[in-house]
Amino acid sequence: MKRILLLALLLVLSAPAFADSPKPVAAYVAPKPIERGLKNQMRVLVIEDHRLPMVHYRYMIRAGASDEPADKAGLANFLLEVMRQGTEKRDAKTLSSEIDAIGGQVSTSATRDFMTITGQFLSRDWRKGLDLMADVIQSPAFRGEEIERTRGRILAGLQGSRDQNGPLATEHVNALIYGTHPYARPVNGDAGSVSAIEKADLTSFYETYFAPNLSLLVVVGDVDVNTVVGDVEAQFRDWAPHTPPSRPGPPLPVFDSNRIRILDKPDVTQTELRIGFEGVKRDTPDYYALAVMNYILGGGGFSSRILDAVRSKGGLSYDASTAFDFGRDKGAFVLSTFTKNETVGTTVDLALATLKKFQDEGPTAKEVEDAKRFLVGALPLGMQTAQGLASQWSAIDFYNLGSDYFEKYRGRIEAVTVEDVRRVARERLREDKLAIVAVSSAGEVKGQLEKYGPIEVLDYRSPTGAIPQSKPTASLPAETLTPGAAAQAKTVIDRALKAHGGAARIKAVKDVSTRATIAISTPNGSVEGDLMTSVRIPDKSRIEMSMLGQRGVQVLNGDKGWATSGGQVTDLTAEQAQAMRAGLKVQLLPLLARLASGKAQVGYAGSDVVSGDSVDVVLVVDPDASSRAAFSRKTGLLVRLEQEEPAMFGEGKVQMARLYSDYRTVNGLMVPFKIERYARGQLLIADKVSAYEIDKGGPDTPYLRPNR
Amino acid sequence: MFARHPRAAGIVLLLLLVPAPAARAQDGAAAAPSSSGAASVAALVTPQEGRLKNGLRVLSLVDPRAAVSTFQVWYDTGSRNERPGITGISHLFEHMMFKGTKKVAPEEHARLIQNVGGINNAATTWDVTYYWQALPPDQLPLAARLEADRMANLTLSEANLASEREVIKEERRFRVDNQPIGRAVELLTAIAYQSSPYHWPTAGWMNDLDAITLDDARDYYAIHYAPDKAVVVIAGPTSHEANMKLVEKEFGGLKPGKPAPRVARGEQAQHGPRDATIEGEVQLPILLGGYKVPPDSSADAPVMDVIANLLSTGQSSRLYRKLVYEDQSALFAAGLAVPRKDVGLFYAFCAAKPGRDRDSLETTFFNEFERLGSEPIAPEELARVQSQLEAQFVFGLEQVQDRATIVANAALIDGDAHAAARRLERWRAVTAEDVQRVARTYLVPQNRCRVWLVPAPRRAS
Repeated sequence: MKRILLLALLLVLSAPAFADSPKPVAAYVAPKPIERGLKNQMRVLVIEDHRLPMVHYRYMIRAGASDEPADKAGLANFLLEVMRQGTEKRDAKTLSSEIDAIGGQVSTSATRDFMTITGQFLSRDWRKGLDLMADVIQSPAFRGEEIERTRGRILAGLQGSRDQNGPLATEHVNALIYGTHPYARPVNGDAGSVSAIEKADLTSFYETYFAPNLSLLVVVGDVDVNTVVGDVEAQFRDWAPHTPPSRPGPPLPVFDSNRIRILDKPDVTQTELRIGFEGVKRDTPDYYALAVMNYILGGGGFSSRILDAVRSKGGLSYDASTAFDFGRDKGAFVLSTFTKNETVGTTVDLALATLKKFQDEGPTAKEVEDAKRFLVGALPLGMQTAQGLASQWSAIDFYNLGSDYFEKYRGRIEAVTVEDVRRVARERLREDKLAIVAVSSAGEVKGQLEKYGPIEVLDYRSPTGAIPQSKPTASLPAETLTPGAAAQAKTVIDRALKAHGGAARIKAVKDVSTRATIAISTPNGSVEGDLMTSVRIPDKSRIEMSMLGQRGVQVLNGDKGWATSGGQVTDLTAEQAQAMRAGLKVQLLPLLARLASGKAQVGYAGSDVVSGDSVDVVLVVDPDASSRAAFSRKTGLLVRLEQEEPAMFGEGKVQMARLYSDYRTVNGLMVPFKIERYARGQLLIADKVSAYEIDKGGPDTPYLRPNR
Repeated sequence: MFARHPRAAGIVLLLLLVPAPAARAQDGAAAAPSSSGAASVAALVTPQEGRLKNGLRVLSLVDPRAAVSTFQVWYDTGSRNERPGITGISHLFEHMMFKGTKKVAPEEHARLIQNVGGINNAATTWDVTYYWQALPPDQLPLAARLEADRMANLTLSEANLASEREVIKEERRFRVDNQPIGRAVELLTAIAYQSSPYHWPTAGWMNDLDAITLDDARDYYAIHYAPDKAVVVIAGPTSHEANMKLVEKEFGGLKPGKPAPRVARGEQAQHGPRDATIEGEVQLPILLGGYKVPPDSSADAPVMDVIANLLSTGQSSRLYRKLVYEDQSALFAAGLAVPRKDVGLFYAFCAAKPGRDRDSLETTFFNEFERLGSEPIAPEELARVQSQLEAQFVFGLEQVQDRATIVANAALIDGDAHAAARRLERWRAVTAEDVQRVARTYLVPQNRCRVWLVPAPRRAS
């Protein structure tokens, strides 16, 4: 049944007056779309707006990052980016050229709950724009080259995102609030999960979730509804519906205490702060009362209690706000602010006191009236743009809020009472069991936050811990390690030294050489080779590798190093020498020797399970190479060593883990004959040791640079 | 540009980790014959003008179909009107203007506007300081009353000065000191401009922020916050006659201010490339460049717009195609023309992927700018850019507050309130020869400054 499009704007224009009390807010009617359903269950909403010669297309799929497998976090975003890089009939360059030639803008966005592809064009190009959109949506090309280019961009972007302290803080507070729920994961994933995504993952996610019955297309602009819908029907006619799997929604965690995380970043003089706890779903009947409540508490800018306390009265920050992060599942409530390091404690105190006072006393009647006036009166502001309209209508559709949403909106807001706001404040705000995140210089702020509860300090580049295979990395400088943790670590280390052959014997070791067969995993299968390593403690090491008929040698000799490959001798760069020095320090026996000397700074970092074995994890702090050593509870032997190393393939640093097994005795020492090296959770290299020699002796010749 | 409140602040050069559109918000003109509603598009940024006896100018943009109005007051003062010792005072003033008058309590302005369903913000740039609200059309009288009151009767007290001083110091920390890229942009601007007042940042130097006195503030207010130094811009469904009546009623009784001191114009010649490096806690090295270019009122400014878009709008743009797509050496790369009253700076920026050779990236990057002086661009490329400029112009007109800003910039930065409406024609008139000529003149190494922002070496714990 055809509905009449309502684009009536009822404005009550009165003569200028200067009353001091606000006049009743003028009635405004939001533009409402015409709705059409296609035979394949795809839905189309069209709003005709002829004020400007432009058209906006917003295409939405009812699936998002929460539907990804946990270890492939970032898949939805990756998929959308690849889709933007070409279709079956238009490669990446052609697609971009055609979009740009008409001044069009096409972009994609993945959120936790849904994915969108939007396009904006001059209205004279509406048909071409729709053709481009339909092609991108229905015929992604998944060319291997574009997948790798995209991966490179996403990984670089992930690395760069750590330069923005605000979003970083938000990511970590989400991880703390949501626990194992999909909302804990950053939508863009992390370096580990994105590196693990393969073409098959992308095509599978596409085939599962891109279907007409999960699709909504909103069109806003200078178009004719019948013509546009006719074209949409033609463009999407061949697409068949199918039903995707349902998404599990695990519960949010229940905290039993406050949880505080500091992301330690050097040179920070102003700390980003986030305080959060469990929130509500978008379709909660309390939405309107919560909207009013949040405006008063922290969403209403200078009308809000939080900004008033923290900025206007306290002078502590330039900005402070609160927000409910509603989702299809329960979202979160987060208070955000920043302040110079010296006033972090004061600011957190003040923010929490403001929340508590609000919870205890509730709002004033004036606050509630003012909030309602804003929420009703400001509605047209968000409707000025096609994008704003499209976005709101697609949200209404996604959360099933009803096509009469705007018609009912004003009445529902106006019906909110002081008591309603008081009730939701009591039910929804908490003063305990908070998640608190600070991006800061840990040494300066840790003391200020200790009164709120146990604190975890992570390097700011650390993963959030929300993605299964990516563990957060601590970067505790010695002063922040508690005496208790150091003592506990020492107990574990003492037992390990004994298990490996005794501290005295370990400290006496001068030389270690091994010979091993290695197997390197590549996308095309496993490649075998020979590896000979030797180490002369404290500062010489030599690695000689033969593989695929090639032989290469790399040597560290004191401060400097050299390498040969194909007959050529080159000097190592400072960075390469540094990397070898770091690598030497975490060879098994040099590491144990360092632990035996008692000079290493250590801390107990909890228990874990490695290959079915219970282990104790010890953090070993070192300016060149901090690491986490896991010792078996059963045998006391080192079974895993984790640290950040320069990437072997590609650039940047990578979280590496070495697993040790097949322990045998050599010269009275227990050493591993099998070493598996993992990067980002994937097995990279497996070493099978065939010869292990300790203190063989000999001249320094192997370490000296040949003259060439 | 510095804003009173981050939530509604405009796109700032400092937020460089998101690629910024290269087109300028202020521009527009008559649409092509084939566009529907061509005349109405140009009309949206063609103001009707009036002036009060006290010198206050009024620009009206009348759109009977708008559901929202904007009331804006633009003061013809910015950081270029400062001097060493009081740098940052224009921005401080932007904050002081919200601390109230006899009739309005501190911070009450925003609350009053929000209570009628409006939003508001303010911003300070090198050239201007402006205050705007977007609100229901029947609430224009409230906006006019508030703006006139604070133009004439602002409460300047030690207490207000002290509290806003702390806030703007926090803002400086937020945008500059704790964002290495903010520091890099500040340094680039300072080395590009030696003698010009654009040399110092709009944020002000931190030690000047601490030194500004109440007397400095009073002097500044008496000169710059006056009707003869201001332009009121109103966009929405109300008529120009109604707007003039309203403005006359609220502002008519205000007196002109003290004469403004002369501002040094121009910038001394640069005789060779200038290079600097900053170390910061960053993951991605960033390369910033700047070429000095003419003021926005110049005949060549539309050509710079074409060049900026050619280089960085869309994935088929020169910088994206070469550096991001083909070489994969940059995460993003762009050129950005920022409209200025006096000698301008064409900003260039690029985020390097980690581990890439920076020297070769720098060479390739600047080569994309500089080869435009010797290699003519193809007709299809020029056509593409002109389509993009037209589309961006149209897209930029959706919100009444943006139209008002476009026209105010034209009036104050270009000195011609109708310049915005003519911009689209001027873009269409740009030829490949113009691009080559302008590039050959300004995009040359002798005229170039650059700052590399690189990761600081890790300190041992």
